Amino acid sequence: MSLSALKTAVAERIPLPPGWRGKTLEEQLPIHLKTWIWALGGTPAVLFIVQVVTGVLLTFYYVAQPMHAYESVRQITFGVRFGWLVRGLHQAASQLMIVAVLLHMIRVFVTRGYRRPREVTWVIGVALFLLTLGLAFTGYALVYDQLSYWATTVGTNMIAEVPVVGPPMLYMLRGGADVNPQTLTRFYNFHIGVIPTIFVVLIAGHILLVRLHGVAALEGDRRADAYPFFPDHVLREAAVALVVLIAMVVYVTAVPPELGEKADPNLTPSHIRPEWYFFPSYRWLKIVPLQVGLWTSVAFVIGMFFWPWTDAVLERIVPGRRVGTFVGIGFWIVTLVLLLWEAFS
Amino acid sequence: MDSAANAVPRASGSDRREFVADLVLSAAGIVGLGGLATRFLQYLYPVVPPEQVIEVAAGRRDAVPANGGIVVNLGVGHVALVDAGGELRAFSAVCTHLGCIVKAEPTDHHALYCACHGGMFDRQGEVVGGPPPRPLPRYPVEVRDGQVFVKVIVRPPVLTA
Repeated sequence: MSLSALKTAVAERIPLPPGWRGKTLEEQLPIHLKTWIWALGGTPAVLFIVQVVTGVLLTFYYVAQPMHAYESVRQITFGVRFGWLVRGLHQAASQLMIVAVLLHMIRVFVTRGYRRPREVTWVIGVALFLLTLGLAFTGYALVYDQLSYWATTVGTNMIAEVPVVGPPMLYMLRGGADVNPQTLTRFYNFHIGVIPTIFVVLIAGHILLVRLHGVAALEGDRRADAYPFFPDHVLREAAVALVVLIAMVVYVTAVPPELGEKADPNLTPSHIRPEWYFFPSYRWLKIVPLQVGLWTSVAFVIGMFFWPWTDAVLERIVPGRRVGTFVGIGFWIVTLVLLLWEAFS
Repeated sequence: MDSAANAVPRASGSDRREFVADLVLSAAGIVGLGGLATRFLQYLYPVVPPEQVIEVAAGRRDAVPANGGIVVNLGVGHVALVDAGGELRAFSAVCTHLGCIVKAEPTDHHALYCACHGGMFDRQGEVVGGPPPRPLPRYPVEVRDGQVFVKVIVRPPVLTA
């Protein structure tokens, strides 16, 4: 069969509409995208793929039972061939994914890419950010060492403080009143089943909307030049992905993953601390009453979801002064101060 | 398939019949799927066993130092035993803030300390520092032949491995 015959045969079986390449792969992108900072949106997606691959590999050895979970992680880390690499990459990618999502969000925030008509893209993005934190939290619980166990206890207890729906939600999440054998099974399910499934659907929606709307024009940029998505932009994204992958492998080889002491439900360790990305809320909970901490966190999340509309209202009240941007920068600074305060205390 | 160009105008009676049929079918779909979703949620919601009050031996009275305290794991929960000028008191050792186990750390200021967020409780179980919203629940305690007995409230776990 000649190449052209093969092409015809494939085109007959997969009848893509004429001109599809121009609308998808060869879409023209505004020239401002041709800087490295605009290649960050694809990085979380690449890291998500790394998480799927390494995560699937981890499930071959991980046992989601309190009696065996810790031992299975120990086996992966110190026994299985290249287990340290797989677990290390999974861990490093989870941290980098939060960094990448945050950088992407800050970029969209500062350039106000969320404005009409792209509000839904932003809302899905916020949901993806929260799910990323959810994946980090549930994944951390699976390690089942002391810090992981107590982080799970503390983190889930917060839910119980929500009036009316809190206690039943906590029951549902933990599979009982306290952190118990069912909790690990449920967290494992959330981590590898429920959240990733929702995640994939939302990523698809996010990317679809980005492509349907086209890339937002950069305020103040009058250049009319354009360049194609494929191969130019894809190559740039691929270069970023490659650098990230190499950096991760080098890091994990230099600093292989560790494992703390086995979880002991009878003993809360003296120096307990969540992972760095929960430092701001951890410090916040230490300095304010519980209900205040809870409701300000809820308000913060709602504020993020509705930010495109809030910013539009602020713009209408005080036009042209970018009040919203300053409000947002204020929030970022508070978050950063809380993070550093906890990190250096 | 209908399109604007070749749609056939229909009598209003048949329009109404079709609308009612669509309405009934949609309602049946929503009710059916909703019912199924409710059953799935019920499946996920763990069976809540009733709370029980049981008396548990919690070690020797002389294990609790004068004006000090200890935290004991009773197998059914953690209890803090505190000596306040010779009087023995028992509290739940689960911090009311976010559920960590408190430690006995007798000072002039407080008797129990939670390492998670810095909660402090005095010899009455009252909050004297940090973010906990409520005092520690107090349990009835008795000493018989030098042995401490605490009546604790327990909720058996749903499933044990």
